[in-house]
Amino acid sequence: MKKFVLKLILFTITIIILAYALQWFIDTGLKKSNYSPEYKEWYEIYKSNIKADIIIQGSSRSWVHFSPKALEDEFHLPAYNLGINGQQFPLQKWRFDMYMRYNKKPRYIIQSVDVNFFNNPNISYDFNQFIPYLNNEFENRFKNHSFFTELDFNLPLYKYTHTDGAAASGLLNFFNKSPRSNGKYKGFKAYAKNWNANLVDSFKLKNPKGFRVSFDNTTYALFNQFIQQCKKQNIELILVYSPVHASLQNQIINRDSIKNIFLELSKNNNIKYLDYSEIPLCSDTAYFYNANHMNAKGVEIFNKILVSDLKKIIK
Amino acid sequence: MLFNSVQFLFFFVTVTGLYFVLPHKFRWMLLLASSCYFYMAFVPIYILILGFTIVIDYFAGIMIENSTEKKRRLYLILSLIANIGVLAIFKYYNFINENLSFLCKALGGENPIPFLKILLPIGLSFHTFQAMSYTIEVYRGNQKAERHFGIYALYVMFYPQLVAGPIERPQNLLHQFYEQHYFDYKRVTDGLKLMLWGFFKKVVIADNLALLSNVVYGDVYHYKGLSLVVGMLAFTVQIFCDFSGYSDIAIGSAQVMGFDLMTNFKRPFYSKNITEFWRRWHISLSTWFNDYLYTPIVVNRRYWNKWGVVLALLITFLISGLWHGAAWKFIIYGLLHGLAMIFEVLTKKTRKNWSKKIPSYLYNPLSIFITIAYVSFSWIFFRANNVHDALYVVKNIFKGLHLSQLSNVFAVWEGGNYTKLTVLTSLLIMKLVHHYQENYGSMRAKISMQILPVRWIIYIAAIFAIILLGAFQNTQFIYFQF
Repeated sequence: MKKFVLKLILFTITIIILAYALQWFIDTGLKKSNYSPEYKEWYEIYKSNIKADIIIQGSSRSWVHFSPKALEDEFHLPAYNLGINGQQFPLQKWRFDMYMRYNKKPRYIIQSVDVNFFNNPNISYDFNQFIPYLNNEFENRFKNHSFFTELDFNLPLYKYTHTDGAAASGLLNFFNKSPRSNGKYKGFKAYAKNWNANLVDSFKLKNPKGFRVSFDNTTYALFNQFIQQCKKQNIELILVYSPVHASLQNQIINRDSIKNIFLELSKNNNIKYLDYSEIPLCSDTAYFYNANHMNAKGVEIFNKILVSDLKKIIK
Repeated sequence: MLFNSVQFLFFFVTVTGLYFVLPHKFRWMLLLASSCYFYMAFVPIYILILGFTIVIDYFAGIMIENSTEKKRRLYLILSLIANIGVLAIFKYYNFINENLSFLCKALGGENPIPFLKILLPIGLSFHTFQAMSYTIEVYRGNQKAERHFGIYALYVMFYPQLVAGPIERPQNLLHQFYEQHYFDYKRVTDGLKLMLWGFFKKVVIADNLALLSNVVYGDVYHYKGLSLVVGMLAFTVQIFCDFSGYSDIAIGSAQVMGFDLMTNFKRPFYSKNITEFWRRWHISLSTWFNDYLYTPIVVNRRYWNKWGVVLALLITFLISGLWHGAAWKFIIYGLLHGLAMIFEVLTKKTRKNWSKKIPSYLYNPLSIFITIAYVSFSWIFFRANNVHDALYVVKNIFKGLHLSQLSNVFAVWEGGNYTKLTVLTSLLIMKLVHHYQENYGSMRAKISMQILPVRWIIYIAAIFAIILLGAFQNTQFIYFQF
């Protein structure tokens, strides 16, 4: 038994060392892969590659609606879109914090807002993007909402068991010199797609009497902190409610009260708030590919309007 | 608790460690307590059902042993009724009622018997059969009735084989609980190697193939021709790796503690006919049916000559199909195997003549190919959601065979090219291992003969392959449902 225990200890130590080494290899490769469509932006953030004066942040509606190119052409200031797919403000703030830690401070932040803005964080949505970046700080920040368990943080290689092919993708991309393209330009991508009613139809089917969006007080407090942080650091914050198709907006019972919160926040903190949720574009399906997202045609028009309005703010 | 979970890893290490630390007289208590915990990790309340049959069979065993012939028979029958009754309520009640409703509707009436809203306890068919084999063996005088209630309970509940076998016989297992198992380096490492191989088959091969077969069988009407062939073959390999993987983990984990469980698989894809297939596939079940159903019928109908065998085969495989699940598709699955066996019995002489005329390098591979094809075909009924889906597959599997159908079906295989590469490489490894085992002997012995760095490289590669290339979503063992 002594011989077995001794060998077992040696074998376990070897396995642990190799597992950590392998995890480092996989994580390094994964960050440069396109296994998750969000990896490229995370890579740029952590490698301090973003030198932007204008930062756009928000959910998927941010990276689909706000073109950094349109802003750069007009204001001659470098811009970057930090929009993060399917995530509410807590995760947007996490991305912003990482951005601030590794990159230069921006002069302006265009914050995309919508009715889901004050929801709880949703770590399970596109959780692959967090896999190579899991650390204690992330664990502590999202302790109560985490899709990941303690094993993911503390047992080497375990985190890859949530998803098929991640480890192989990491190993195969290890020797890449730069991250693989995800088709976005500085975090932005417009889609030339036609209207698809599935999203709104299934939403109506699920919620025949309309839907009340949840409001999380902690997220609200976090956003207030963020406003103060921007003030302190002399960053001008601009809130923008980008177009949503009317067919979906009408289904949200507490839409007005959420919009009023943005209005109040802007008044109380002297922040500019641009609301495009009721412009004529919003009632025409020709400018949307689904009820939440404009298509390339809509985005082009929206960005022209936005840039024109921002001329009064961005100098 | 699933074998392929981190919880099981901690459970196994803790129980095995404690097992060797504890004095022999306390070990049965540890094993019984841990087996209860293991079972209750699924649906805790169902331990009461297990408890019920354990109490009945424990006393039935003693009463059978202590009684005279007539009463012995009565006690056996009572015990069998209790066991089969539990099976009937939890597994077959709703199925029978469903068919009654259909019949009533066809006759213009309505079935007044209500349906039960119950979940099937995990592994019910396995531990019920194991419990039944105990009372039958006591009745036959092949086994002494167990007087120690804890040991008897452990015989039914021993965690490695509790939920999906191998279905043990009392003569093989009961006495092992009384034997003191000392730590044996070779036995422990052999058990661990077998477990590792089982995990590899289950997590890397079966669960990755499940990503494909689940898509095809999830909506068969989307596919035809080669897509269905691919789905069928994917399930063929999946079910083998899933079930034999489970058996290897079960046998291996018992072996680590010093217990020898019966072999459940002997490379069934080397079978040259269906009869041989059942000697190599799920051996603990096929021998159970052989001992307690097939042979008694053959003996009872010995004057019918080969027609007695035909009847025995038909009944055995019909019940074997039902054992798998309460649905017509399982009955058809059983019947298909029964009919094949009957065909083989009736054509034995003719086939023997063919085997002499056709060169063996042609006859053997062809026989293996036909056997695999037939077994794969029968598994269509096993895997399809219902008979309707299965018949669709059967009707459309050879319709319009286009290569484009392959790309269609491979496109829906989650995980992309990595999964395909993983499965192909793993299948090649498995084929090589089986070839070695079939022709030369134990692969574990072969590995043990290598120098330490080589052995460790093999183990480490297997462990990392399981963690990194395995599929860990929706990975319940197929046979847990039975």
